[in-house]
Amino acid sequence: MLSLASGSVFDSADLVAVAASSFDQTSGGAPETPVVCVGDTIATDGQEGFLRGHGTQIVDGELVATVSGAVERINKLVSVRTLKSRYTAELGDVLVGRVREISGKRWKVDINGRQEAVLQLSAVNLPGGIQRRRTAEDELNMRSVFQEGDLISTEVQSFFADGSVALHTRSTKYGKLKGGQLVTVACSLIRRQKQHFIPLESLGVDVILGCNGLVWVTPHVAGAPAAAADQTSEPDTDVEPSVSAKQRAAVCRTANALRALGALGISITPATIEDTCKASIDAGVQLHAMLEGPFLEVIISQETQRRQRQ
Amino acid sequence: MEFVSPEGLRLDGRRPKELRKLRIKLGSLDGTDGSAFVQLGNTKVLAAVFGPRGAPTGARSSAISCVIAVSAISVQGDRRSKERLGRQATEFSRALTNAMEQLVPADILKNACIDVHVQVLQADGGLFAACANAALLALANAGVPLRDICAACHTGLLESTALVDLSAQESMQQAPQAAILYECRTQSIAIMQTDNKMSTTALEELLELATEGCIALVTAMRQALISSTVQQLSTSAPHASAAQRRD
Amino acid sequence: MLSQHERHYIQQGMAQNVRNDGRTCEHYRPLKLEVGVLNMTSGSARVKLGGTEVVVGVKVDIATPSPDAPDAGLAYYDVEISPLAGPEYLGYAGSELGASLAQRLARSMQAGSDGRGGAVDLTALGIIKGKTCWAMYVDALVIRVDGNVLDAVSIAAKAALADTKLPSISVTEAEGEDDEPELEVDDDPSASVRLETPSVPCIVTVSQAGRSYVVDLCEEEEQCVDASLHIAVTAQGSLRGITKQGSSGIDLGSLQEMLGIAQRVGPKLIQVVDQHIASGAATAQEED
Repeated sequence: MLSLASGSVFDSADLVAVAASSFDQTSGGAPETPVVCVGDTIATDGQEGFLRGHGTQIVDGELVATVSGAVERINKLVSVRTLKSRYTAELGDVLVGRVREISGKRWKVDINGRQEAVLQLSAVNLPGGIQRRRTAEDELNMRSVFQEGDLISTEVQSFFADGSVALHTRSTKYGKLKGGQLVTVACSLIRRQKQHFIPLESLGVDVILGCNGLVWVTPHVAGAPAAAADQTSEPDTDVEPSVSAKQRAAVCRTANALRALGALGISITPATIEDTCKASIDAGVQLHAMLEGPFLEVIISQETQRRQRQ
Repeated sequence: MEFVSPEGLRLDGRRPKELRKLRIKLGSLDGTDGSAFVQLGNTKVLAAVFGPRGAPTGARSSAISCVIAVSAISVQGDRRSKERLGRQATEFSRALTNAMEQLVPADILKNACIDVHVQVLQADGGLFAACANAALLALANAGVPLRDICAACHTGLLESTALVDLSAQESMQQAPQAAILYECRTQSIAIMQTDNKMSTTALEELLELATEGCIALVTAMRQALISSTVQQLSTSAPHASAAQRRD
Repeated sequence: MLSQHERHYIQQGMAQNVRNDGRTCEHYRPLKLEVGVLNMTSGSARVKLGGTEVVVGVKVDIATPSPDAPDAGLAYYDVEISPLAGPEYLGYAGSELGASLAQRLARSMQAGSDGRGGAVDLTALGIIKGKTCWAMYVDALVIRVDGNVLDAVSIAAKAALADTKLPSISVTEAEGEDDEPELEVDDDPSASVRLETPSVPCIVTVSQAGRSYVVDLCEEEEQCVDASLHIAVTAQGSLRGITKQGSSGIDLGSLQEMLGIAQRVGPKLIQVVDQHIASGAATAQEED
């Protein structure tokens, strides 16, 4: 058994293995969810008229798994859910994306997923009111709204016929992101929930949990719900928000907590983020040491204890 | 040199139908969508999958692209052997690309591109079988759907004995050799490569042995995939009660 | 790719000495090191510096010495970027990066024309003066790029060299005038001789961002700096070679400060590396 604290060489697969073996001690070992592998036949128990979901195929009347994952049965729909997979966008998803190029009346946005994504000029708020028509001048000035490399918070509006994603930023909470840092984790660790803009006042930060696994962390802004640093209703003066050393440390602690949870494969929720940060303060761990063996073991044992209580 | 002793032992002490020690490790490479490390004896390969992602603006002949790289650290001694293996790798990556295009369902390949990159870390025979196994495991680790679970295996006929999983030393003889990629559910051979002339009887014997070898490998691969999935399930279990408390 | 806003945030962080992962400007990321990972080489090492991962293998072969240094052996350094690092490193981009890394690594290890004074004393590789010697091939394979690849390559090369053992050779003198001396290579691993590596340096890359000087940049940070110096430093703190990278110029005052940082940070880094080498024999073979 690898020991994290000894600092022996390890990689992300080993981290997950150590975490899992610790958690399994609380649940008694056997997984409750049935797991299948590629090529396995999925029991339909003589069920009539089952529907074939993701991760399955029908071969000679039998349902066969095409991926390795957990079997999910919702009414008649039988599918296999993979644990780790590239992000697949769904309607209404809140995301953090990066503008890759500008062409025609659209920004091409990289959302780190299976599909290509596009933000059309008509789908953003422009200065001067929400409903006005887009002029030729707007098209030329697109770079002054979002330029290549910019990070934006956005939402999935619809899909094109070829499956690519249409995004929009038609709400004051969406837009260009400044004054913070980005952390990328596996998208499976972030569940779709009601709120993705999350103020964590006790930690002094605001967090945007993108469904695509991109998480944006900024210093906490009191009052308003966490939002993009600039509102597109003002002219973009490109003023960078100033961040004090104390605020920076708070952002860094949260970002490292996200990285640590991501490395261990633990779900990312306001609760786990707060608990991890608090544990690092209690343990007197230096910021950069949050990503090292000894503190990762602290996180694992904390999580194990929480599961034991449930 | 005697490749099979009178007692039926090979140079490294194995029996003719014995595979070398197998080690599989999934998901160890960060910054990839899926990865798999496969070790058979001294042969070590590491495969990484990038994708599926939206098709890029440039034209691509196929949605799946497979690259097999052999590096200077992989081969022993003579640097010319690196070039030779490199040429074979290019040839084999084409065959592997074709096989993967058949294995991945068409609707996944439409409008998407998947890059499978395999790096040979150490070469000691059975190279391309190891690469194929690693590539397929990496695809499964990345959650890319596959029609069937497959494995690849390499066999050869030395001193009238059919041997499975040849080491580099055993493969360097001009003996008949056959390597296959075998689909388990459909029980069919997706790729077949032979070297040196052989009788049809010999070919049949080698294919039969290779199939047995593939079936044994699939069992191990399946175990590795399930174990990895179970671990990830365990760590990412949802925090239902905790979330309720905070909301 | 980064936005100008992220770049600004990172540069401000460097100025405040709190980088995105909480490190100070003179802090290296966690280092993981294993030696003896490739059992078919004469010496090998695997290094992970943050997310950057490199494997180095050392192989030796019998060769003819150069006429300028008849009693010394030969050393060759090469660096390759593996396709595992990502599709963007295939083809020209990868080979160009590999070539520039190899050049810098080779320069840091370079011996004089007589084979002495280098990172490795090449006379230790001599076998029969003027006729036979060992040629040592140090090959690095970069598996993952997450910033500061050169430093990681140099650490891995140093560890692999420390792990290198030369086969024991016995030379039987020629009997007659026209006969060649006989060489017998002893295959027994326990008879092989470890290479002496007290002078092998580590390359410390120091970068300038505004008025801040930073070491061990991750990939994001590399897009936020103006210029870098690659400084090869030995355990004793002496400098073995310096190259500059980046379009901006570096004034003399900055240059001196950056060299000072390398001389401060370098020996500490080498100490950590030596500790890892001492305890880091590969357990990969014994696992499960």
